[in-house]
This record gives sequence, C-alpha cells and structure tokens, in this order.
Amino acid sequence: MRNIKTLIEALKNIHSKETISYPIGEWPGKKYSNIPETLRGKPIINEEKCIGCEACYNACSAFTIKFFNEKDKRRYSIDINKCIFCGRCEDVCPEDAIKLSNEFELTHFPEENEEKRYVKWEKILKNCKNCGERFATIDQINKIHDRISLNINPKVSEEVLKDYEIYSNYCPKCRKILSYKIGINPSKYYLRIGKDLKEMK
Amino acid sequence: MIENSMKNILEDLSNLIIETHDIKINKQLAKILSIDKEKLIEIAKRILKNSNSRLVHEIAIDLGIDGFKIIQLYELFNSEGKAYHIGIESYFPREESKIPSLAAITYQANWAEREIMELLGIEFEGHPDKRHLFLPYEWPNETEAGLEEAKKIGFNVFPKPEPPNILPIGPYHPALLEGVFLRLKVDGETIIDADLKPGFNHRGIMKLGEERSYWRNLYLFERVCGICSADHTNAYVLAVENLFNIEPPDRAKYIRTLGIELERIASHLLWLGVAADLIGFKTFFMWCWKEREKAIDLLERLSGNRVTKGIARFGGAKRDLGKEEIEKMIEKLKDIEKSVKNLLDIAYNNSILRKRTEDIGILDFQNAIEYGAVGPVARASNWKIDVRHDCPFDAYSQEYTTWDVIVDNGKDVWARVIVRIKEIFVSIDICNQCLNALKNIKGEIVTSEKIELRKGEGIGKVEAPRGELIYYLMSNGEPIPYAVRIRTPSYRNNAIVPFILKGYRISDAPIIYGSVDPCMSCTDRVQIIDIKSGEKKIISLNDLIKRR
Amino acid sequence: MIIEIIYFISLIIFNIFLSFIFLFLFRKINAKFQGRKGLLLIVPKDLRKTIGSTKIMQQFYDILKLFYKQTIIPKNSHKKIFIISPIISFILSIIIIPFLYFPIINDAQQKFLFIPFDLLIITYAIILIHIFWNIGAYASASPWAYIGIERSEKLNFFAQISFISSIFSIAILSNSLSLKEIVIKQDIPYILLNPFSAISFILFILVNFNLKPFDVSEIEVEIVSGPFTEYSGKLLGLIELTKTILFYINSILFINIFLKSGEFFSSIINLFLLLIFAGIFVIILSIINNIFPSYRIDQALKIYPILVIIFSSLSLMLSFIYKIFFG
Repeated sequence: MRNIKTLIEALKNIHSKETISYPIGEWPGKKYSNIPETLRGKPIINEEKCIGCEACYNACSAFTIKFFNEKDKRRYSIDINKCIFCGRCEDVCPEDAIKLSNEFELTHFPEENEEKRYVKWEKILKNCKNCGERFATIDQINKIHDRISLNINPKVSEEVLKDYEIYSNYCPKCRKILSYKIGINPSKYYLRIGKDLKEMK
Repeated sequence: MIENSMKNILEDLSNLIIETHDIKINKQLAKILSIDKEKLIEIAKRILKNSNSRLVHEIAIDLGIDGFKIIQLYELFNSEGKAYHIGIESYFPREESKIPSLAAITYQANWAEREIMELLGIEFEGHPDKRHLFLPYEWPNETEAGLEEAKKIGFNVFPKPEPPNILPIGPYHPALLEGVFLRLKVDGETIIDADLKPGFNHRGIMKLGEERSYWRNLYLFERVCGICSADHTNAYVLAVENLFNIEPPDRAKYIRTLGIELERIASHLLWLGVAADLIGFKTFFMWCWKEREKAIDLLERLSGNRVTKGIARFGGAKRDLGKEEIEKMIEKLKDIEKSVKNLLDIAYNNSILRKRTEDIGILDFQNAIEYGAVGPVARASNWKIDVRHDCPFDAYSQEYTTWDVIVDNGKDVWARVIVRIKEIFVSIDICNQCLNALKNIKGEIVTSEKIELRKGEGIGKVEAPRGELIYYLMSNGEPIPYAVRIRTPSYRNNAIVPFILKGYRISDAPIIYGSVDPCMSCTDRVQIIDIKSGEKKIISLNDLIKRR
Repeated sequence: MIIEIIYFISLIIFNIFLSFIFLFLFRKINAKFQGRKGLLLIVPKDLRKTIGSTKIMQQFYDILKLFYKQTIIPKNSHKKIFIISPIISFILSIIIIPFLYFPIINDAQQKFLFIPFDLLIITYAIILIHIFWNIGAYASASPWAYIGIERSEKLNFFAQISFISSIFSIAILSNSLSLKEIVIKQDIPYILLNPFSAISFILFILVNFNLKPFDVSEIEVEIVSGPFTEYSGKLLGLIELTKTILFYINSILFINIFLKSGEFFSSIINLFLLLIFAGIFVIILSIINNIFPSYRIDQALKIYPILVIIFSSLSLMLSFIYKIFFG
C-alpha cells in the first residue's frame, strides 16, 4: 500500500502553524507577522533636506506628485491612493530627502482623507526685487551657491561669488532686461581679457 | 562553427538579397536580410527545409507614409547543437498590402498572422483560418470576422445557441483561473474537436508602450503578468542594452540571475498546486502552496515586494545584498529543498494520481517541432531547447555557473510534472552558486557608461518559467520608442491545445489544458489599430500629440 | 394529540441542530489535514466584536444566506417538476428522523409510535431522495446536468445493491426488520460478527455523499456542480439542508445497526456514547476523503463494481452461515 505516505503526511499536518493571527486594531499587529526591513511602503519626506528642485515630480511613474503656489509658499503633495511604490523618486533625489518606509497598512475612511491620504510639505519662495514674481525656493538658491563654490578656479572665485549674490535676487526675465544696469552682463569679462592681451603685447 | 553555417545559407540565397544589416540578440549577432516581398515564401521554404529550424515570431510595423515593414525571425541549429538567428524583412507600400502567407506552409505562424490581419489590415493570401483572434466576433460585421472560413472549420462564429453536442468551457467556469473561451465538440464522453478563443483580458499594453519614455515603460511592462514579472523587466532591459550597446558589471549579473531563478521556483510550485486541484486533490494543493510561501519570503528580502519586483535597471541592478542576508538565504534554501523532495515522494507514490495523469495528452517529437511548442512542454517530448543554454545572457554562460538542461521522454502529462519538479532542483543549485559567488566578488552594481540615443533595433530573449519570452524594440532617435513587440510563451503553447485534446474524454480536458500552463494575462496584450487601409477612421489630434 | 405534535416538532428541530454540529466536525477535520485552521470553536478575544464568539453553527448561516437570494428558473426547463422535486426530497428526509433509535428517548416514544418494519421505510426513503433529485435535474435542460446524471446513475446502480445487501444481511442475522429489536438482540456488536456488511455500508456512503475517490458525479472542476447546476436561491438552500440532514442520518444509522447504538451500560451514558461513536465515524470518513484525488468515470466503473460484488456477496453468505449453524 504505497498510499501510506500521503496518510502519514496528512497526520503530520495537524500540528502545523501556518496560519498566523492578525488582530484588528493598532499597529501592534507587527509582532505576529514577519516584515523585512527592506519592504517598499509609504514614502516619507525629510523637510529640512528637501530643496524643492522638483526632480521627483518629473520622475514619478504614475503622475501622483503635484504642487501649487499659494502667496509666498509652494505646497507639494503626494497622493498615496495612486502611488505604485516603485521607488523612482528615491533614486532621483539629489539630497536623499524622500525615502520609502516600512508602512503598508494604508486604508482609511473617506472622512480621514486629509490626514491619511496625502503626504504634504511646503517650501518658502523668494521673490524678484524688480517685478515681485516668485521664481524659486530659498533652499535651492543656497544649494547652488554651495555647489558652485566647490569647483571654481581660486583666482576668480571671489568675483564670481559676488556676482552670484546680485544675480540671485532677480527672476529670469528681469535678469535679461536689466543685466547692464545691475552689472552682471558677461561682456565685462571679455573686455578685461582684451585689456590683458593688450598689456601683454 | 556558427560562422560557416551562416555563410553557407547566405551564399545559397545571395541572388535574392538586396542588403543585410545586424541586430544584437543577447550577445550574439543576427543577420537580417532585406528582400522583395514576392520571394518571401521561397526563402522561407529553403530555411525550414532544414529539420532543425523553427520560426520564432513574425512582426509587422506601420511606418506611416512609408508603408509597412514585415520581419520573420528564425532560429537554426547547426550539427553540433549551437544556435544562431536569421531574419528576413521586406518593405512594401500601403496600396499593395497583400502578401503570401506563411501559415500555409507551417502551423507555427498561424496565430501571429491572424493577429496582424485583424489589427493592421494587411491581408495574407492563402491563410487557412481568417477568423478574428482577439477582437469580438461581431466587429465590424460578419464577413470581416471570417464567417465563410468558420463554416468550413465547423465552429460557429457567433455565440448563438449551438447544437447540443458542443460544450462551452468558459468564459466563466470554476476550472479556469482566467477568462478564455474553449469549445469542445463531444460525442458522449469523447472529444472530437476543440477551439480556443483568447482576448478577454486585452489591455492594449503594446500601444501604451509607444507613448511613454524608456524609463516609464519599465514599470508598465512589469505589470503584464504577476507570476513572471521579473522575466518581463529583464527581457526589456536586455533589449534596451542591446539597442544602445551597454553592458552591466559582474555583480549585477549575479543579482539578476538570482531573481529569475527564485521566481522559477515560486511559479513551478504554484503550477503543481493548481494541477492537483484540477484532478480533485485539494489537500495536495494546500501543501504545495504552503511551501511556496518560503520562496516568496526570499524574494521579498531581495527586492522589497512579493509580486512586482523591480530588480533590474538599465546597466545593472537596483539593490545590493549584505553578508548576513546571504547566510540567511542559504539556510532557507536548504529548507525548501527538503520539503520539495517530500512532495515528490508523495506524488510518485499516490496510485490514483499516477492513473489520472499517465497516457493522456500525448505530444510526439515531430508534432512538437511542427506546431511550435516552447518551454517544459517541448522538453517533455524529448526536444532539447532552452534559451539559457542556446543563447545565454547574464550569468548563465559557462564562465559563471554550471548546470544541466532537463529532458524527459514521456510525452504525456506525467512527464511534464516530472520535468517541472526536476527544474526546481536545478534552480536551487544555480541559486546556491550565485550566492556563493556574491560573497567573493566586489564591485559596483550599476555601470558608469552613458546611454547615447541612436537609431536602430534591439532584441532581448529570456527563459520564463513557461518558455521563451522575446522583446523587440525599434527606435527613431527620440527618447520614446517607435515600436515595441512582445511575444510570450503562452502565445505558442495555447495554439497547440486543440491538437492534444482530440480523442480523450471530457474528464481529461481540464488537466490537459492545465498541463501546458496557460497564463492568459501574458497572451492578451495586443496593440490597437493605427489607421486601417481603405477605410475612413478618425483619430483625434490629442492622441497623436500627447506624449510624455 | 397536541402533545404528540409538539413532541415530534421539537424532536425534528433538535435533530437538525445536531446535524449542523456534525458538519462542523467534518469541516474542521478536513481543514486540519490540509494544514490550516478551519472553523474556530473559540474565537480569540480581539476578534470577538466583529465575528462573534464561536463558529459552531456556521453551516446554518450558510444555508440561511441562500434563502435571501434570488431564485432563477431557466426558460427552457419544465417548471413544475423543476420546483417540486427538491421539496419532495426535503419532506422525505424529515420523515426518517422519528424512526431513528436514541437510547433513553426511545422508551418514551414507543407508546405512540411503533411500526414493526421501520427499517424498510428508512431504506426506501434514502433511495427515493436521490431519484427525485435526478428527476429535477432532468427537467433543468442544461448539458452539464445531463452529464452529471449519466455518471450518477451508473454509480448509483451498484451503490444501491451494496446498501440493500448490507441491510438485509443484518435483518437475517437478527430475524426482524424493526430497528429496536436489532439493537436489543445484539450481544456482540454486529461490526465484529459480520464486518463485510459494515464495509458494504461504507461503500454505499462514499457514493451517496460524493466523497472522494468516488466523487465523479459532482466534481466542480469539470461539470460545474453536476445535477444541481441550474438551482439557485431558495431551492438551492433546500437542497443543501437536505444534504446536511442526510449525512447525519447515515452516521446515526451506522451506529444504530453495527455498534448497538451505544447501549453498553444502563444509564444516560449511552446517549453520550452514541454521539462519541458517531463522531469517530465522521473522522474516519474525513480521512478517506482527504488522501485521494478522484477517479475518472471509466476507471471508477472498473473498480467499484468489483468491490461491491465481492463484499456484498461475502456479507450475505456469512449471515446465512450463522443462521444455519447457530440458529
């Protein structure tokens, strides 16, 4: 009777513990289930590190990251109901400000939409001295200043950084229109090169 | 040598060729010959006369004002058993869109040509069966849906009340996991004829792929099928790497191979449970799926998700493995091996299970080559084809890992069970070799070469748990692909189902249909019409402009 | 008169209540062999608010849900026969209940209900239930039902031979057709005296209740529920209720005939012994149900008749031998 092997396996299975209880309630359900740390769950933002460069908005696969301007702040939001947890925003962010956490219990009632459905953060904008339009976030401008000063030729660094201070106060349109007035037109470098050549001769 | 055999064929056909160019397939170079459209059948007959050749796929692309382009891709084996590819392409204008059909010579091109006829409007002369494949039978009218041919075959085109000797299985039936329409002509309890119609799961994925950039398409093609999703991403990434000529580093190759093999273990255990359920053995079904949870846990550690794993990136892999995780994974693999040996013991010794699966659904060696079977179905009929062996990619070639191809001579359903269980053991062996190699090799996981956009074509081939999966990409120099074509293994295996059902009883129909491992989500993913020749069809301007 | 009506109605309701508990045991043992938990006897504290504190009457709620749903009658069917057949089967299954033998209760019942041939009524009622189900399935005009009836009739032909030979060999041994006298006259339980008769009875139950490996006429994978494909809503609820009562009746009948109905001592322990033996019988049926896949119809028709003919003829011969040599 070679069917005995199936019978023995059936009798062994009486003691198996495959079904685990999952109690309804708060997150202490964690102690019953086996969650690895590398699970891809809800994205969370570190607001101090974010510079508002919008790389995540361009890279999102499901078009869920959105932003809009309101007076002097720019508000960003991620819609958790549409996110597919792919991790492209984490790959692309230059400051490591957005990461995918371990949380996967994301259902909620419609009354709790505002707290549980959206991840929100905001950044303060800088406005142009001339026309008053808000064109970039303050953190982004500071970050560009830091990046420029890393790789610059030490002979010209002081002058370039001084020019950058003036440059960063105007929006792109006004920079072009008022470039001669405020003294940041690049023609001044060509004139100086010409003067140096004449002196060498 | 491969070079000699290819040179012989090119000399044979040299008077018919207009020009040649190369495509990269998985580290091999394939030659594509451009010829005149009237000579297609002559050349096809000469290539297929060789008894060791098969047709891989037939592709048609709409080039707008310039007309149509059609490509036929063949795989040939030389006398030592090595494989090489040859393709034939031809261009023709829109006004003369009638070409001779390849399905009149071999059955392997039957479904591919039906799909092109209904969706692109090219007409194949001499095709034996011109009914719709994916679209419903009522669209747009009776004659275009193939009413005349259907009467010759014997199955009605419309689902009217049929005579009482035709049994419908589907679209809703407790035996099927997905929606498919299988009609059986019976006489008492014996099956005389069968007919299969897919198309209930049609999502239009190939057309969506032509509107998104290369990066976004990675997450679209991951969702074609849930059970073999790592294979789809891997094949797409290989196609892009072949198109733009970049190569991933060694450590990334091992990680990608580990993902594919773990998924093969999970998929074969799922199939074993479903096959037992189709006989009526619900207890064995529960035991198999209990073991599968361990393999899925390993995948969750590796990639972060159980179903849509995103392991591959262009030029490398996404995530790295540390030393402690490697130790834990090796221990868990030993557990899986012990329990699969136990399951094999039980299945081998249960007398009723053997009686239900032996001597039914027989597929001979000659028929397997002629009808075009792929994957474990072909290997259970003594035909040794495997993409990992013939056309190696990632870490499957001889310098990285060593392993065997499993072949069995049984030809029936029991042989397919044995082939799949033995493949689980081979997969566990490859996983152990990869994990041991990952302990020693150091390096990055993404290459630092840059992608430069250029015009061209690229093909990526992968061995999914069900057979051979192939992706074809054509690019115009823009950051969006011009054409994407996918051919999944279930496409081929579903086409041979009517031949292995004839002559057996109704009780055998579910288990025979289940033994070819049908995955209907893989089969239905077709494109949508661009513009049909000769008819006025309006596409809105927004559709043409909207590209992101 | 009124007291008797109240007595019978309460007896029927009590037995139906017991039948749900028997089915709970069957489903629980099925689940344990497959490695899962099954129906919970005691629900853990965190879930009690949502689910309730015990799941022992789950079969009752499953049947009650069916009575809330819409009944669809197919257009091509013969409507009157389609509707009447499940009702007749249900009434037949209720008629059997007062004739079963319970140790203490039967003494009170003897005063107003005693028929000297009640074993015959039970036998033919059990056989007629299946015939009326098949008549209703014929009237439903669906190709799946026709295939199911064809297979069911082929197997039932042999199953009924096995059942009748088992009952008659017991009747010969005890010299009467009344269930009470069969129980009283057993000095040694009949399962030890004539084991072939017990095996014939078990072979009948495997086909009657569609347990594997002879599950061929109602297997869900091939022929969507066999004879009962077109039933839905309230009629399907009646059919499921009849199946539950039939399972219970068969188990109690086995213990009544072959194990002396638990009357080994002389107090109320006998009633509990009857229920314990019936529970063990259900566990053995569940083991057989879980080890095998189901046969195909032509393979079943090669094995089943041979088993039936061997065991039924052996049991009849053994009874005759006892009768001739030991009086």
